[in-house]
Amino acid sequence: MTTLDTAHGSRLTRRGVIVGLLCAAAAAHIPVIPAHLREATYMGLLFTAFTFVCLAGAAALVVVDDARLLVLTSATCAAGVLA
Amino acid sequence: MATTLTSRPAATPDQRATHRRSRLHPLQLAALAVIAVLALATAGTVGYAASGPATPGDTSAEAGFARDMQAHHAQAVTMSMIVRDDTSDPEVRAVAYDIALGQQQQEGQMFDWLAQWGLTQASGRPAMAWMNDRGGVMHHGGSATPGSGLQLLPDGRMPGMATTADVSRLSQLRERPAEVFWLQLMINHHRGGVAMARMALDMTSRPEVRRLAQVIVTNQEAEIEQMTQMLTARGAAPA
Repeated sequence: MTTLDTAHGSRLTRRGVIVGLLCAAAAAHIPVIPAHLREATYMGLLFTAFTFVCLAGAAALVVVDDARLLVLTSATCAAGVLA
Repeated sequence: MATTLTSRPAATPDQRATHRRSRLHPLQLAALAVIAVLALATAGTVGYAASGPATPGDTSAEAGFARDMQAHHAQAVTMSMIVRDDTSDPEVRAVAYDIALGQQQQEGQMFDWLAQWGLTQASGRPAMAWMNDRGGVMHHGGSATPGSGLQLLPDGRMPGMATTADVSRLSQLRERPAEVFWLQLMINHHRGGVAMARMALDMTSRPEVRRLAQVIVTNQEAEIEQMTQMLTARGAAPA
């Protein structure tokens, strides 16, 4: 196994983890969207936007292997956790 | 530079042909399918929430019921607290306290509905105007719709409401006369409340309103029965 193979495998793992986290973040927000849309519309819209951003990021990460995208989606995950 | 995830060296011509048709690994396709399902679920959830029942309007039966029943309950709470001070009878004091606490709590529920619906607690509309769409109420002594039993009193009071003079008299009586008068007033009060709650049940499909209206009917009918027995035990009858 070459250094290149190891690096590729490591990045593949990171992509998989981030895709999983993005899907989990999206799935966690779906059930609370209706109540927030009713009671605090702006929060409901933010949750909806966040969910679609997570899913779009996950889809992009599945298809494209790009370091900048990995950083961006990781930041999205972190933002979701911090918020 | 962006590249696709999969890279299979030394592919045969057939494999290369297949690779051209589908450049994604089965795992990638599975992940995309999961993401698509989540996206559809999100869209469906948002669509469902957006198309859900709108909150009741200012002139709706739900808003009218919430406002009028709050006013109705408020008088029951007032009279119950008065009789607790007027008598030392533990049974009457217990029933009065129970009614006061229960109706105060229900008032809070109805207050919260109006707040949640973005409506004011008070309205310039006449009491029980929310029943007009169904012809359930007549104003100023008009005959009630058959079967509804609902009719605004000539001075504009809702069914079962005591007059100001009745409430003043109650606060002046003591012990047995106060108990009897309160029981008579409260039985009438509950009869009016039950009729209003039944009308609300006929006019709304909102689950929270139907639940509370049904609770009011059930509880107050039981209390009417109980208070009638208490009146009988005191040698009196409902007014």
